[in-house]
Amino acid sequence: MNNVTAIRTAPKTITYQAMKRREIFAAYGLILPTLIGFVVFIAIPVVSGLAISCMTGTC
Amino acid sequence: MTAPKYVGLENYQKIFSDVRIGNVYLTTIRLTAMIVPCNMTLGLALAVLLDRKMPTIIRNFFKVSYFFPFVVSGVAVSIIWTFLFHRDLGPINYYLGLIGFERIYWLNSSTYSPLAIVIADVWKNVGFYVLVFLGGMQAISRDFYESAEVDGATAWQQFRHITLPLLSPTILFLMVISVIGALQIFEQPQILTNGGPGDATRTIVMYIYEQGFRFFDMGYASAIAFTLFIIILVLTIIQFALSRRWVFYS
Repeated sequence: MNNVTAIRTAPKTITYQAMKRREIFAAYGLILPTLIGFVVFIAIPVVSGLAISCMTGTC
Repeated sequence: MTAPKYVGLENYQKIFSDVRIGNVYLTTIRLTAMIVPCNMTLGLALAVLLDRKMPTIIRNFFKVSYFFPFVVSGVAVSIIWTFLFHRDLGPINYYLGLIGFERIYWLNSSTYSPLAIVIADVWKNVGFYVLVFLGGMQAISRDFYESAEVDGATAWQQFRHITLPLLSPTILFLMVISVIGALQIFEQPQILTNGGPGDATRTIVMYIYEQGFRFFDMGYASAIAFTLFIIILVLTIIQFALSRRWVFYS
């Protein structure tokens, strides 16, 4: 019988700390800025409307 | 206005000899083709972000913020957008100028005025899409995601093979009402551009309004409205027929 060596790739392992770090980066580095960015987009006409109303003396 | 007189199908024959209506329909379809994907993709993306684990008060803050424009009067908001898009006085051009861009004729150019209408429409309506998508997502059992995670599925795989298929009835619902809403768009182009430059942003409902209430040709306006009804009906039937291939009712 020939010697047969089974080649298996090592399973990907990730430490708990690294996983948490990745989660925190995703939450505060990507998701929160995107959500807040869209709130800013929503707020632009609202703030402008308020500014216009102040300029015309109705605020 | 004159007294009504029976003319049979004369108003429908007039549609075929009207040189403007083809362009008006094309503009409406072009706007629909821009508005529907923008609302759907942005709404879905924001809903996916909001569906993550986060404190309820923060999620509610974002939900209220996004939904707020939907309950505001479209006319009032369009007037504010007219100011924002103003070529010389508008804040948008001012800030674009600060980062090195040239002033854009948002409301007077046939290239940019449809974009301005799309931005104003997305601003107003995307919150509704976010809420409906989010409702659909929260109805999906967490068990699917947990078992997928155990099997080693990535976030994208979970979205592609769990969220999207189980969200397909919601996507169909939103797509149908989105297409119907976009084909009936009126307030934004009426206030922002008044259909201009030329007929570049004149939608079919604006044309109906123009025929009926500016030229007082109610018969012709009604005939055009009926063609719009037929187009919407056909498109809706097509969407429901095609939905059998991709919508899953679990």
